[in-house]
Amino acid sequence: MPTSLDNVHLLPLLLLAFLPLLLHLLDQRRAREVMWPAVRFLLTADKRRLRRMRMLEVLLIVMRTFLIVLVVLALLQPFAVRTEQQKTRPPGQRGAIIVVDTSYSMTYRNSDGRTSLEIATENALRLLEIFQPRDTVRLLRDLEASDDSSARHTKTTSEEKKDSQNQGPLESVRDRLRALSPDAAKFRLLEAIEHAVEGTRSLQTHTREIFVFTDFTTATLDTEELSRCDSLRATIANLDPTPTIRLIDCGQKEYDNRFVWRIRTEQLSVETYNETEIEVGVGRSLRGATAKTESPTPTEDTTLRLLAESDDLAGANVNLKQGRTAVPVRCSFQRSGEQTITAQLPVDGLHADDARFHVIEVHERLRVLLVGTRPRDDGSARFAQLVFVPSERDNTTPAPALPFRTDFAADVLEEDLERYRVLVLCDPPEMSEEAITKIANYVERGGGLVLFAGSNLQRELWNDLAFRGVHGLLPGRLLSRERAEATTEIHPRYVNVTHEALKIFADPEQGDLRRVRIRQWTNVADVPSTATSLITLGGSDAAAPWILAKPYQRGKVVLIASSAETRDSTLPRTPLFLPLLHQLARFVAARPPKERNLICGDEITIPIEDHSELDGAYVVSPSGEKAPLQTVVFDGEVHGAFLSTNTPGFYSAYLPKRGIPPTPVTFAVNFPTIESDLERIDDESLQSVENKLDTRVTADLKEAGTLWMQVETKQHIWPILLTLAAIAMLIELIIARALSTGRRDV
Amino acid sequence: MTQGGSILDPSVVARLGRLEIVARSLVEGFIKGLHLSPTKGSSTEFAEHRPYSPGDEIRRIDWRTFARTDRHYLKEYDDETNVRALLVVDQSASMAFPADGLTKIRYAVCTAAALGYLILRQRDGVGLALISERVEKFLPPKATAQHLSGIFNVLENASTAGDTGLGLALKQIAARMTHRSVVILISDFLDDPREILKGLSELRHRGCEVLALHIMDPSEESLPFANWTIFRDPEDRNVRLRMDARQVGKIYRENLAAHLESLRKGCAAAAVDYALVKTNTPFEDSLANYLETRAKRK
Repeated sequence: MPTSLDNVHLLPLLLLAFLPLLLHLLDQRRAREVMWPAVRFLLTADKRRLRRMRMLEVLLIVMRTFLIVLVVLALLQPFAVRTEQQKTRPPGQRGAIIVVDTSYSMTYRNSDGRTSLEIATENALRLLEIFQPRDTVRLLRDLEASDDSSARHTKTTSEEKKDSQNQGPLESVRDRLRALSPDAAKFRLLEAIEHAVEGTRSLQTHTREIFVFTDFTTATLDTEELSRCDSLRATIANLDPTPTIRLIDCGQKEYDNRFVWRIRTEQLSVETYNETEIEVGVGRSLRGATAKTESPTPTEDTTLRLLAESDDLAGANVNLKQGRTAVPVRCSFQRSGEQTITAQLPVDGLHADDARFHVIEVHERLRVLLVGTRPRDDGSARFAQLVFVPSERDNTTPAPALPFRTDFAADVLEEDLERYRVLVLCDPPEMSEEAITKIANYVERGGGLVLFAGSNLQRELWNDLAFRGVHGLLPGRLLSRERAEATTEIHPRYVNVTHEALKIFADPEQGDLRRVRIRQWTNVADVPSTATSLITLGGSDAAAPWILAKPYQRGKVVLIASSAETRDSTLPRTPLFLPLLHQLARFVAARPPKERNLICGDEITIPIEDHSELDGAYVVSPSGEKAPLQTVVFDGEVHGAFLSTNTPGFYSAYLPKRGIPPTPVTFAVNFPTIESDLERIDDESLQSVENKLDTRVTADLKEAGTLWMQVETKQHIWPILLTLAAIAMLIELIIARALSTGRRDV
Repeated sequence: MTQGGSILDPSVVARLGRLEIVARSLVEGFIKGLHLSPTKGSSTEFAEHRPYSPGDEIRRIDWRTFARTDRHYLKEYDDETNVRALLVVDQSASMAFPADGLTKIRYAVCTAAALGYLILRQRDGVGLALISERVEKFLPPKATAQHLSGIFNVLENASTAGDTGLGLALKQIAARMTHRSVVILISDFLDDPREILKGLSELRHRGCEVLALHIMDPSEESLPFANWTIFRDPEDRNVRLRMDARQVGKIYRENLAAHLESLRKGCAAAAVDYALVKTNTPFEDSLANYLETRAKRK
């Protein structure tokens, strides 16, 4: 509390405080020297009593000094400048910015049926009652909307106009408050306050007030950004008038919320003829979860319903035992195409996260294109073709129904690669730059590539075009060819059986890849961190990667550092070759599921060839509403896009030009997991914000509404000083009396 | 109580000039005739029997009594002989107090002179010892006017110096006493009471009758200072005390009272006559008090 003086010119009077000490010293200095024969009676004086007398005298000096100081201070007329919250209306026009958290966590519905957002809105409306028509009140989201209107393509011109019109009159602000609805935008407390503080610059009013209505859940505050408080505080301090911040707690005291935090399918492509595994995770909060593990707090025994378009999953009950965060469910799909999966929990306070939606692509058969020298000419692709087209190996027996539709091509330039999910290159010779570039583009767009790197492969060309210093599709730089000596047997030393593609080899009884003998291979170096070594060679030499996998753009690549011929290894002749190649093909064929599985607020985008494809294109939202697809351009490519993915559920995009009847492209939009975590911000972090921003969190609207003005009041201190002086004088008298009593005894 | 006509302020008397005149003026009027000797001697008037103790002259054993009772008794007689009196004056530095006015040493000298004159007028022998921490000057008792004149001369020239060391000085005097005498000790007794009483006991052991005149300046009764004062000990230049006299006054008085009390009790226990004489008390009063005390003892 800063203090100041009215009569500063009397300050030198404080020197009088030295008077008692000065007099005492003078008194001592004037001591008369006498010859006193009976000095022995002084030498034997009672030292304790003497000490007490001296102490009293010192105390007397101190009290007299204190007394003088108090009296002089009283004469100086000091006053304290006390900054306090004024409970009455300040003079002049008031300006306020209201910030309402509309994130999904605010949709939690408490026992009386009201959501946190409704409570926040009601509180904000009540708060508006303390303002007068001449005051200026704005919603932060309106300010942001007007600021970003030119930059954000999400708002239509009409919406922007509407937003701008809402600035100003209180009634308009009330309307805007009533119209608030949850949206996908994350609410960050510090960021919101920062924007609001910036927004106050435009308020030409006598006061600048910021009211923040939020639930203070974990997602509200990024504790790693607490350092922003310091710069924010400095910004606030530099503004005149200084904005005051009020944090109004609209959250619940207790939350009862469980949420489905994950639906995950295998990394292999899903086909109608294979069982697949779906993992469903349920949790209560993300406490202890990390971005990598996504392991929320384990839940209690839970039964959830797993729904799918497939009959096998229709309404299946899944039991999740206590202490588990996820449960695997094995199922198969009868129909190819897009399949939607829904995991549904019993309804609780936060409805939106009780269900999670997932879209997978189910194939009837994978289309594979084999590229190499002609199989019939004992070419490089003959063993691979036997894997994918067994009928050609033995014409006498009916071909087994393998789940691949395989074509052969000698030159990829003549083929439309988009028709295939998997491209198998069996050590193709003399590939042109154009062909390699075409293959790279194919993988970039989501294609799968299995590359046998034998002696025919133009390694330098591939390195230049497809490795590109770890940025290309190759999982490593192709170096020299190696040959095992006649006396040395080279076998795979390490097989990564935890990898999806090699899981089937986890049981050695099913076949041991380490028994394969490697005769020739291509050395691979400079393996980037994004690549995974599936099989490593071992022998007399140091370990060398033999099979590697790498995701590249939207596709995947598997590199086998030998050809698919027996001169390089015994693998093509072993029964393991067929399941291995099948699994590798399924692995590269599986697209990252996230393309179709989005979070609220994400944009739905569909690549299109030209603008005409969007004629009549529309999106059906979970509520059944139709909305047209908009045209957006990403990286020079035209896409149809839909931006209003605020509601969790399945969104189906229809492009009539692509076929009649139009086949929908389905997207699953899910509730952001972090908004499901309704744990409150930890006290320490919240207190840090409060202290640094000189504010307090309150749930009491009255308090927030009345304590809105910081006023400096001048508080005179001289009465206190005089009172103290009177007390000091009393004490001084008592001490002096005690001393004089001692003297009178003398 | 005044015996005689002149009642003079001691400070005035002390300035009378020659000590002889002072003594004479003080003593005139106080002569009361012969007084009895307190010592037992060999006169014919029987006094009493007392048990023999080692050291007594064997010839003084009353054989008749021994024959009758088989016990050794000495026969004692009142001895009406001249008194050998020794005036012992403390001339330690503390006796020079106060710096202005009648000092304790001057008062002591005057008193000693008066007593000497008085004793000689009674035809008793008188001697003088000036002491500080030891015997500075010693004139054995003689009953001549010339000797008294010498005593006056010594007293006249007595100057204060040295520490008060009554214990040692009295022991030295006791060692020089060959006859039973009257020892009149005039001092301010600013010494350890135990040492003083040891010295007095030594004299008593020698059979001396001891008269202790405690000279005190009236200001010494209290600390007549109201401010910070630097107290210096005239006998020890190293002692220098800076004190607020108002704070230590009570303590001082208590210590002084304790000192006097211990002296008084100690003297009583040792059968030493003790009298506290302040320097503002007329000399006549001191003499009268002394003579009355002596008379009571007889």
